[in-house]
Amino acid sequence: MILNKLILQGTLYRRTIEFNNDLTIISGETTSGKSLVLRLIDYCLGKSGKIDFNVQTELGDKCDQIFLEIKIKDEIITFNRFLKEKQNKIRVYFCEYNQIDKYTPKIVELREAMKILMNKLEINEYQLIRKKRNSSNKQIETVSFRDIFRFVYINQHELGTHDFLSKKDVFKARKNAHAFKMIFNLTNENGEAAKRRIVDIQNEILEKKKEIYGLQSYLTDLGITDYVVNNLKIDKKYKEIQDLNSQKKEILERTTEKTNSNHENKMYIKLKDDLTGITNDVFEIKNQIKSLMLSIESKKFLIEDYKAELLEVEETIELNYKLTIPEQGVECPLCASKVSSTFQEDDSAETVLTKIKKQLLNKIKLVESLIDKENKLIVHHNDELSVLLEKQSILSEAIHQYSQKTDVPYLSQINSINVQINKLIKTQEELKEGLKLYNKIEEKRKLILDLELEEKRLNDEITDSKSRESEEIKIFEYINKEYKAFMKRLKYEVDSTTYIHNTEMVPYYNGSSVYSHDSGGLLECMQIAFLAAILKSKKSGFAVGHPGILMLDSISKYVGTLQNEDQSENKIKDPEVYEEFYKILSELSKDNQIILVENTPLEIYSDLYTKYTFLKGARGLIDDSANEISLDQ
Amino acid sequence: MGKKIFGGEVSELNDKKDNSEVTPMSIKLLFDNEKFELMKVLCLLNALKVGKKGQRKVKELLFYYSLEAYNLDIYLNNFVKDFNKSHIPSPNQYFRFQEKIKKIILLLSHYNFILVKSDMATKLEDLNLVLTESGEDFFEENRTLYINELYENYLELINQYKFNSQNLNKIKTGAFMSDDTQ
Repeated sequence: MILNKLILQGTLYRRTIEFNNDLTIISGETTSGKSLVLRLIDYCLGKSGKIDFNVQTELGDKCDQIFLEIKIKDEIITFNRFLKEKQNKIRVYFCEYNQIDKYTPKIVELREAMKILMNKLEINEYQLIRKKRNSSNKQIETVSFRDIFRFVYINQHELGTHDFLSKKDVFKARKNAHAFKMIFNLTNENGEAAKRRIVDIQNEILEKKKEIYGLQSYLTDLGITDYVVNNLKIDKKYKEIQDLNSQKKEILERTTEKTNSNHENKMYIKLKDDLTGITNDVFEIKNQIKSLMLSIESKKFLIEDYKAELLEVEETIELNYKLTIPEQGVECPLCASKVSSTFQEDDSAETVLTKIKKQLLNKIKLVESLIDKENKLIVHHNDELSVLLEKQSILSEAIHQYSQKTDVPYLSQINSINVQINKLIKTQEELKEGLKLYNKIEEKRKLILDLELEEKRLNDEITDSKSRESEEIKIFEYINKEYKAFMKRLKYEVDSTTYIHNTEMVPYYNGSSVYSHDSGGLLECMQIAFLAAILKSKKSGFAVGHPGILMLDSISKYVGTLQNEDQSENKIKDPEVYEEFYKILSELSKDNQIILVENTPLEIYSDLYTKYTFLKGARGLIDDSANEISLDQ
Repeated sequence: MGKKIFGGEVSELNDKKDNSEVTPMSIKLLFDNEKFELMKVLCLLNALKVGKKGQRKVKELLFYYSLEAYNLDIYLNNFVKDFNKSHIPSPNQYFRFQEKIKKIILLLSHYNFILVKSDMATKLEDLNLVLTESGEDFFEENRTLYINELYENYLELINQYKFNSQNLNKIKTGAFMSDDTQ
């Protein structure tokens, strides 16, 4: 497996980090983002947990997702994972990064994605059955790509420490030995589980075939049967769109040459704005006048009513004198009986009536004065109105004159080009959809092939358990030899107490394991020698389960790196050890991909292999000047 | 003086407050101005006398009075085109006035402005009234501008609308003809 590139992407930002097929060194200052590159690779390859954006603020600001383009055997796949949402899914594109708009991704959970990787690497996942703690129930644990990846990526907090291979995490550590076996294909798969898995695979294959059938019929329904023709059509549309775009550009350039510039346009805009403002004001004032007039009308009605009332009251006052109602009552003319007085008679009638009359007069006066005020207000508004109307006509005239002079650029032409472009883009999209379908079908076909291979492997495993033991002996012989050789190169005395334990599967020196020694420098050397031995064995055909990549972060931590010029015989050998690291890594990189992150790498190797140097702050991993998305796109 | 009755019930509050009114006089006058109404009826009687001397039935009085006072002539018109529906006069006022006219007749008789020429058996509407000389005189003496206008209005109405049971019915029921049933 080879990592081709890592792409950090946000809505306005994109940066691609490319890797050499052999040794890639990433150097730079602290907090510049070098280690982040390796962590993002880890993230994209299924690390559980999110990235803390309180720490990685620039990343959080600019980026939303990560792409990792991988080459496995002959196939190129792109893994895509979002940073801020849906973090438990990985989108797998079975193509290069620049082609992803022609493909629909397979969106899977992390575990599923690991399975896909394992399949492509042609290794089977391994299931452990173990007892649950504090109970007699059993549970299944899967040893997956993530466990193997611990042998591939050693971060700066593990290298040279007791946390090598995540030893401090019990759940992970107990799978390490199994992962080691898986790398060397030494696992003895439980026959029953293998058989079950085979049945599952067969079912899956049938499913995929059905899906392919469905997709194909959909394709024929769309009328897209020929892949090649479809592609050609897409390219043709693309070219047409380009042509139209350049036409449009040309026209726009022509017009901007003629018209003199922003200055005049600004004035035109201002005139238009003023005119709209005035029209609005005119409308407002007219409304106000209308409501005032309505108010006046209703007040007039009111006054009429009051006046009528007034007349009646005056009459009543008159009558009050003339007619008096008898106190004792009235005699009925027909039956001559007395009708008791229920008549109105009020001593104070006169005063009351006069009071009423006065009140009415006051009311009438009041309303009349209100009418007066409103009339005045109307007059005032009318004046305002006439001023505004005058302004309005002046502005209209000005705009009219103005637009006669300026060239309104070939609007209609540009419009029609735009319409054409839109139509073409639409057809292009439709054709792309067909393309995606087609690619999906291809992807499923490949998956079927992978599944069939897996089936074969499982079958082989079931039949093949005996020869494993002799394999194991050969393997351990080989890696012990290599481990010792590397330790010697790293200036350590090597003897029979230096070996790789064949059940714990960890390196030992002087009879103590890598988890017992204390010296950071020693630990680092043991760990690097161990990993180097595994990598080297790939060339001899062992370690098939290892992806063939090594990612190391900061190898200079426990080793003195500065060469002191005037040293006597017993000089500190550390700088030589440091150099030896580089020699070893560059040798291994002939057949494997190695990515190294280092503050100040050794000069000679740095010149050859340093691909990126990140600086603190704005020139780090998140670097605006390296943004591949330019603003006028 | 006696208690004022308003709304049919004598409230305790009225007792305590020593004959003070619940409603302000100005509003009371709008609904219940006896003297004024009395004068109007007198005026109407005089106007009716122009056409035909002699007795008048109360019915007729009610008819013309309501026409004038409550704008019920709308119901007698054939056209209802320019009609603002929110201002429909209610025929109920006719019936309300029917009640009030009893008092007015009593007073008019007391002042000797009219003579009631019927017996006890006749219904209210069928009572015959005759205008006396003193009624005429009183009218002439107090013929203010306002009363004069009223007099002219009445004359017009009397000319325009004949008093018959058909018209009376229209007012009472409040039904009027619309355009299409013309």
